[in-house]
Amino acid sequence: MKSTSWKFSVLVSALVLAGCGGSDDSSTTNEPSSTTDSLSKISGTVPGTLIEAFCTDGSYYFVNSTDNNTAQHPFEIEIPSTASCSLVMTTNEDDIENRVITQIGFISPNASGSLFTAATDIDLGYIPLAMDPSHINDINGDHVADDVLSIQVYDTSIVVELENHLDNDDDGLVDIYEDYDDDGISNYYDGDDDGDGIDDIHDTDNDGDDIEGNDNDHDDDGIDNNIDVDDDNDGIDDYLDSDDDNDGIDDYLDSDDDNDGIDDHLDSDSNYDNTTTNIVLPATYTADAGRLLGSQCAQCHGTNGISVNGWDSIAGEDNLQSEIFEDDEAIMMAQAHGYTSEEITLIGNWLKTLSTND
Amino acid sequence: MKTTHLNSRRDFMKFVGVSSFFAVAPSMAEAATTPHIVVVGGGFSGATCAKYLKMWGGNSVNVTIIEANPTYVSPILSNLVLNGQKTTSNLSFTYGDLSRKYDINMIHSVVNSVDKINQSLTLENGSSVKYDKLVLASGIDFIKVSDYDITKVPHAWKAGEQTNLLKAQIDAMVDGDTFTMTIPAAPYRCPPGPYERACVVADYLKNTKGFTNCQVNVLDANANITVEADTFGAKFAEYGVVYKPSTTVTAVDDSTKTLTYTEGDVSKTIDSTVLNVIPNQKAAPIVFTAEVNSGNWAPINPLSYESILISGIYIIGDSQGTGQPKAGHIGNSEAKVCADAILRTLKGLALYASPKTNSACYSPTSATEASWLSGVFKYDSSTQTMVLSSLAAGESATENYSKMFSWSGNLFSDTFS
Repeated sequence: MKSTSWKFSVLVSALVLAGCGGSDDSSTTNEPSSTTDSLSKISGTVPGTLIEAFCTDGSYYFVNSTDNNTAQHPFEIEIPSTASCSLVMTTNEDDIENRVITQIGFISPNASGSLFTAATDIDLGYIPLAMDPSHINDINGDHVADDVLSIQVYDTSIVVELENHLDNDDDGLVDIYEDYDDDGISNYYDGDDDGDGIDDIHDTDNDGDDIEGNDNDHDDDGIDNNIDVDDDNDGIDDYLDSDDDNDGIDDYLDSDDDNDGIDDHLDSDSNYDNTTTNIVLPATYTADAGRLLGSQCAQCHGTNGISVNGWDSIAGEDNLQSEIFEDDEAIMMAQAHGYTSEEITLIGNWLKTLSTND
Repeated sequence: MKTTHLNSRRDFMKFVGVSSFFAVAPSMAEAATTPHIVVVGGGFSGATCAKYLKMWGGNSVNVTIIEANPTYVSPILSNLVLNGQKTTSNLSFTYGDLSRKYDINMIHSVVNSVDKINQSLTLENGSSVKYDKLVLASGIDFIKVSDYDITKVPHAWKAGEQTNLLKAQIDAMVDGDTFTMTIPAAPYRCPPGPYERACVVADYLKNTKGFTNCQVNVLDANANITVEADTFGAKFAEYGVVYKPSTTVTAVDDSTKTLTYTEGDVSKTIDSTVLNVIPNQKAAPIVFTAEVNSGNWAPINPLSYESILISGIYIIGDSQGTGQPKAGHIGNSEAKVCADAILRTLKGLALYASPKTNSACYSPTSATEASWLSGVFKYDSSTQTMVLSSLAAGESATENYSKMFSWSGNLFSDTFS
């Protein structure tokens, strides 16, 4: 794809007329994951297809079209009404040999491009996606069509953006579907994006940008993690997602929420705070000696006894006296000897009141 | 107001609301609004104090942090920037999450003056902020022997740009070059820190770079290694560090990297490729501006950290003048005692009579090993001071290296999250 020009003006391979028919059939969608209240429903019909929306706030949405035993499967996908998004549609998505990935673009009265904002619901009608890789232009054979499939819209229901921040090389295709190493497998499906022989999961520079370690974009969607509302593009916004990097370890147990190899406590982009909602503040102050003394445990065991790493959480601890004096860590013993048994009782009584999963 | 840097539109609204109200109706402020506690400084002490004031005091208090920098770079672990195991961005913290989570107002500015009569601060942009209680958590200032250029002779004792300057100088060294650092007279920020740095740099030059002919000189203003003397003494011997105790820096030439010092009564000079002078230290400038200092530090009541000179002003962290060490972990610890004391005072309750604080620190001694030092302090009512209740140290070992990150991780989180 890199070798191909992607300018819309020369690569409109198909014009689809929006609003001229299309199915009203209902279909299923995944739950919308946006933090915004306002959503716009994009609907239409396609061949059997995976429909994905990548948005510039980092949110990600996907839906499979509904098989209604016709050649035109209906779909509906809800995206934030205020976010700019880009649509990618994949036919035969589960069949590696026959998969066809198509970037959707729009031609509006004002602009052409693949990034758009839909303020209201819109029906795109039938979108004639290719079902066979041999029917698309695909010079490097990565199953991603070199041509953007553009849909003509005649009104202002869709605002097309001229600048696409999800498309750094300005070829119309969202970066996530590029093929950086030209090996015929797009990055999205490529376990070794830069072709250096090191699997991405072990590769400290998996996109070959020569930035070692954390290059701050866990899901390679072009949105830096610190501003990406969905770090792992799993369709669940981070603030609702208990597992931001989809590594199977819940964030509260995961010392590296975004799997960038940098522990959260050192990682300014871990977003680990974004996984928790604002705490409920008390209406008034109530003195508590056990809490004051016990708060001095937090430097090593976490605020309110919830550790953010491998060291023990102590919230709910019910046998503090024996725990701290029989601890095999000398540094804990050194601390324990600094407290009287009365103080340890006060601290223990307070710890018992704490929730173990903050 | 118009030029004050604020974190978000929401913060801006809150700040406008608070300050304009006070400006218009100062006499009504105390009766009609919740108490406003202003914390100057957003490091380990200040951020912790603000967080715990809101976590415990909730909606009964308004809390504002005034911090010059939008990003705080932790001095803790910053010696690992010098050997390339961390970057300053790894050690950077911002205030957005803290502010949102605990409903803390953030103002990124510098306090120019303190009006103690009207309980008002003037910021560098001319705007003013009223306070009911003022917490000063602004760290340290340096006492340099002369006005030399700290970009050429970095201290790297406040982390950030200075740390990276020193790292760049160390990285430019070739085999046979000399690294000289000086250790300030106690009390200074982070007692083990300078010795830790000497070890990390010596290990880096010798074992990472493979330089066998570099010399590392440590000139200590103190008569002995001030903490963990066995650990650091053994490492100095292992690395071949030249350690000179009881030395006093008298002049620094930033162009030739020549250090003049006295050892006994004899004046000597030493030339180096990289010169890292960590100057003697005193309380932050605002402590002097507010006139809550006695000599170089601020005397406080350890039950509350309230100044013994002026009521309503509290000093925590490195600027306070108790015998407790000056470091991030115990700054966090003092901040909780201070927050609780302020909330008790606002509610008319007696101060907690026997607070405890603690200090703990893991120190890297190489790229794979760390040592630790830990102590608990208790209040001694007869002398009205904080005294050691327990103290222990752990020698340099590889198992401590990973534990260092568990310690720092929870400390960072307890402070900034």
